[in-house]
Amino acid sequence: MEIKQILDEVLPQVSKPTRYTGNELNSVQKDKSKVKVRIALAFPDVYEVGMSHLGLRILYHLLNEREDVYAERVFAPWVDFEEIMRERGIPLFSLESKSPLSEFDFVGFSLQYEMSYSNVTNMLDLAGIPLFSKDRTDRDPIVIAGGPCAYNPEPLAEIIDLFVIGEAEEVILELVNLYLDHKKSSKGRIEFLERAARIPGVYVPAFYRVNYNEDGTVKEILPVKPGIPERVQKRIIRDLDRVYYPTKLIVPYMDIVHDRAVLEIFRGCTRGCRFCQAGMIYRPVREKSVDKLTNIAREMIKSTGYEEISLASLSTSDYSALKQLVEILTDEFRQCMVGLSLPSLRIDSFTLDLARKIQEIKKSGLTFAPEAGTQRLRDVINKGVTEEDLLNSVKGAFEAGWNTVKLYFMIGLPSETYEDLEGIARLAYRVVDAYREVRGNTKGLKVTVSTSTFVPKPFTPFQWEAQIPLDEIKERQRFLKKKLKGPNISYNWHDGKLSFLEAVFSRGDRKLNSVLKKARERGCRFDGWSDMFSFDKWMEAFREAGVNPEFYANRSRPEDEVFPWEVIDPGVEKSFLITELKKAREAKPTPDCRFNRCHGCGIMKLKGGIICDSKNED
Amino acid sequence: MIVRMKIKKGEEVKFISQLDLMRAVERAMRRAELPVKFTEGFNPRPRISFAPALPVGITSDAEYMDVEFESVLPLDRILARLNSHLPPGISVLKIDTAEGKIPLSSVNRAVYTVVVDTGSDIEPELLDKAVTEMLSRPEITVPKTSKGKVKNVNIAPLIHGIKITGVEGSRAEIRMELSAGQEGNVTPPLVIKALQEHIPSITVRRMNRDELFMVREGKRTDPI
Repeated sequence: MEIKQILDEVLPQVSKPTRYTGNELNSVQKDKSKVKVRIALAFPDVYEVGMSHLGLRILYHLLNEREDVYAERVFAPWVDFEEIMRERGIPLFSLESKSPLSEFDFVGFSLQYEMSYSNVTNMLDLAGIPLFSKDRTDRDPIVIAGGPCAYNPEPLAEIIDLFVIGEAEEVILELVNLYLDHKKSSKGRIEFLERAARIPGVYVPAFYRVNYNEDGTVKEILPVKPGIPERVQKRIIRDLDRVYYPTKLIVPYMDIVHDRAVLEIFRGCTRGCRFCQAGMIYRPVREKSVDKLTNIAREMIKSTGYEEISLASLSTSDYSALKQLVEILTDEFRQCMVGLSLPSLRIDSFTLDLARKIQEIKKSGLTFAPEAGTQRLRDVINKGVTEEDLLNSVKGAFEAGWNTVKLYFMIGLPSETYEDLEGIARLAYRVVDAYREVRGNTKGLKVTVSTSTFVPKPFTPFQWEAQIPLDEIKERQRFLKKKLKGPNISYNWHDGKLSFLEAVFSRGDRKLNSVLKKARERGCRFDGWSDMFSFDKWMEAFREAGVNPEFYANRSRPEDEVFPWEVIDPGVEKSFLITELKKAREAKPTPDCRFNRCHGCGIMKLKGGIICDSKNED
Repeated sequence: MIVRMKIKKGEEVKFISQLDLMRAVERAMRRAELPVKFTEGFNPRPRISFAPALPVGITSDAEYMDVEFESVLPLDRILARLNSHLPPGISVLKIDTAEGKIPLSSVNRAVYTVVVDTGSDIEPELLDKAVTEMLSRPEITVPKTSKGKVKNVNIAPLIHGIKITGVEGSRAEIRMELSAGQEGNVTPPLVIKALQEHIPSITVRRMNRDELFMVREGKRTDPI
């Protein structure tokens, strides 16, 4: 029976069947027999999470612009449907043509967070594609992956055939062209991968050998064939005004996590927070012009009918012409009731004005991310915000009528003490005081404090630092739970066990591939979903694979250690990261290079970026 | 100006919820540049109201919607513009002003066509007999899940007629007239569940809502 027919029969029994039906407005239908390359864009989470991801949407429409390519989507089936799929022998299939994944030329995974790796392995299993690259034959698809987690590809190095490092808009088309050319020859997948490995930004792990020291750390990573680069430099798009951007976006039927038209205003960030991987790997800063953005926005609303447009970037307030852009967009869309949302906005007196302006249409809560509770620790992490800044902004917000405030912090940051934790609670109470000062009482006020646990990430100044042990995470959360009590304050915290595993995989090496295999065999998947996450199963997987997770999460590294991810070159130099680490240890901030001198992070060698272009290297 | 629309929900969209359908129509109106009126307040919503919800998995030729517009527009223009902007599977079948019509909340009756499969060739007399037997019972109780709880309900008073309209091989087409809306609601899957007591192998292949209307004192009034 065709997959379509079986679906008709089984979908009434599953939760949210619209996850699997496709047919949304602006989704692409092509005759699969008339294209030359078929690509399954796989997102290792459910539909409503995957469809909220901008990168997937860009690549989907970009690839489908080509007549000879058909890109389709596939998401991780939720557990109820997975059970039926396994029972009935339904292979993992694409949303558009309902084809089994094994029919495709490429299956490309988007790696947004480490805890989705178990969904990658489970999806491969459901697709009937061998888990390890070495076991695949010429009949199997080429399994590729990209996204921020690909900056440390090693935990998946035996599973993924080919990684794309950095921004994919150009390199993905180069890969497609190479594939078309390669199809003309009678050579197999190994030959294709060998040619692909010569494309800048492509990492094929099979062509690298890792040698280890006796203590288990990496000694060296060496290319095993001539012509394979020693390090793979990330790809960037130089001119964002000229890069493809989709306006005929798919409009889902079901409620997805971010159900709105997304307008990407710039890439990169120069703030230099020392824990933040995005701030390092997405450099340099490149903006789109107001004109270009206005045109894109207008086109997007026209072809989607969305009721909301959201400005996407790492730190919206840093867009140089933000005020102008917001004014143009609010004027443009007031008539047709399209709201504007500005996530990742640093709130100060200037942006508060903007926030007030956009609230003419939609009202929502305000979010602040001081990240740490004391000035000392904020200087350590280079979060350039003071308590006074924060309180002034909060007061301004209360005066303007807001009464819901969210405060985000991290616990377990390097050098954190209980005094710093105390500081988190003190800050929350000072926000309550500020409200009382403005309004005379605390009626209607809601302050939510959320803490996540610090996870050291590759290519950040803190990549040498240890994560605090699991017991200590729990202890610090307990401490805050006791301190953060009150009628107007609520406290949320992330599961420490999840942060621990995240820390293992974010700085992991190739030995973790076998752990992923064992974890899949034990049924681990959807680890990011608290009701699905089984820490015990993961610990069994580590034990069985003979791998000690604490080696990766809780060990601080010497400065001269070779890291598994050093086969990747993100543009930012190791020497810069070490300088930043040392400054962190002295609690010395590094000002934003946008308003200060160039600090020599190394990204200028990639030639591009608005800040880098206007400055001469020191 | 309030406009009443009769909408088709096809195979492509049979699994979307009523809320999803409403959102899809709202977005189509924005694409079609039709000025829908919005509610006042912090979270303005378009002024759209619906007839009784259709369970997911059922196609329909009789979904109704009242939409309020900012200004007076020619009805044929609304119909044409909206139909050229609706996603595949959704279309407006008929349009009229809502003035002088019954309120959508008073709708209480629906007609469905259900295609069933019994697994082996059907003898029409046996199927007829099973239906007659079921309908002749004073009470037809089926387990119904609502808000996570399973409860036995008697659907006998909510069934107003079942007729077999065609048999071919193992498949049969059944037309049923059922209560719908706030006064009492039953949908084809429950009726088929009851019928399974008489023919255990029966399964549903397709369901469609054909008509939706109001019956008061034996008199039928259509919404449009």
